[in-house]
Amino acid sequence: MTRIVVLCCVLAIVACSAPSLASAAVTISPSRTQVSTSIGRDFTFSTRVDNKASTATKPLVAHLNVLSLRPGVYVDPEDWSSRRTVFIGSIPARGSRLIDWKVKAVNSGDIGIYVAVLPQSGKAEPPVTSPTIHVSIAQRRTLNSGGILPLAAGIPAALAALAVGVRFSRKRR
Amino acid sequence: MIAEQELRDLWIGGRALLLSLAFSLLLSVLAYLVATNTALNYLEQRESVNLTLQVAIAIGALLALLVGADTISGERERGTLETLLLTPVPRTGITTGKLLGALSLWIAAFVISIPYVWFLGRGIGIVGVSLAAGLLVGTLLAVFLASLGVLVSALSASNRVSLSVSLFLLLALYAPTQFPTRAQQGWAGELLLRINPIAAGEHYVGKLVIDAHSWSRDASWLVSPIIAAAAFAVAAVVAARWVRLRGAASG
Repeated sequence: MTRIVVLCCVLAIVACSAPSLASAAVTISPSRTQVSTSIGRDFTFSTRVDNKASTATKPLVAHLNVLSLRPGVYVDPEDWSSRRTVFIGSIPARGSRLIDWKVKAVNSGDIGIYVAVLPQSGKAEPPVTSPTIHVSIAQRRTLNSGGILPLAAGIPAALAALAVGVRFSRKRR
Repeated sequence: MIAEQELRDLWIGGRALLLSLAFSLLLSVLAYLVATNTALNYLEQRESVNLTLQVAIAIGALLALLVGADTISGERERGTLETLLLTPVPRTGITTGKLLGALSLWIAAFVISIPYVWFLGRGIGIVGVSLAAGLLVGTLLAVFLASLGVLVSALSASNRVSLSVSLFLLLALYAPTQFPTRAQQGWAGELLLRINPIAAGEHYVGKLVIDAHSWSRDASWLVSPIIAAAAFAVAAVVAARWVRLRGAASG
């Protein structure tokens, strides 16, 4: 009985000593914290996940999130990046992982992006998050829409005129 | 001779002009929306050009299919097939002429789409590549679909059957292009796209126009459009032997 109690205590101590993300000193550093772009454009950045502890981390998952910093703007993160979750595995002691992210600017305005890292085991502990990447997205008129109307109306009109002309000449014959 | 007669019937008769007018109206609405609609305006300029080009190819090839599907069965229903079969022209010449007439619709559709592609793509240096890609892929798909139409028309008892079967086959071929992105991934999804001439051709155009890939990088995607165009063109010409005055089902 005593042995079992001792074994349980040892196991409990071992479990408690497994470092949490915060205590394992996992930090996330983005390659840039300010991005200026225009709507419709792609931009990239990377995040470095550092493990500053003297022990390896448990397997980790990094997740990219996107949100509007102004009310009234609907943001669907899936539209912004097709690859938002990266399984980075265990990071060795004092090691790091570099993750590249590719994002498309779907809405104009002020957008916040951050990366969260959490344990793959699903253990209930707060994730570590990166500093916010502030993305300023300018409204962009990708085309000079002013010139489209003459073209959009002119070509069908020309074809209609041609069809009428052919019809009249056929009747005259 | 048959091709000349077919072109005259189509263009002087006015049917091809009306179809071309409808095609230009569709492209006008699309180009106007792409250029002015705020929901669509976030598309990058390359994506706008690609969208317009893909629609032009799809509808242009559809026109060729519709005209192809009306060739033999249409002559039969109008009671003019007997006269046609009695002309001193080899049977293969008849279907070849019909095929060329159907392809004229695609050529006209391509010419009509040039100003739209130029307008949407000007300033970023993709007009030339887009038009060349559209001409290449569109011609392959138009030859394939027009030949399919002529083949079905030659084998159909009535024009209604010919048009129904042709449109059903076209919808079946277009269906994979509407699959969700995840269904198009993996080896099975890619294989399905590659063996479907329409999906493969449109994928190739997208790679050239949107991703600015070189012509050779994704050239393997052209295999199924080339094979389909060649095989069905030969089949359509050979199908002339099976043309009967009363049609396959009733005769």
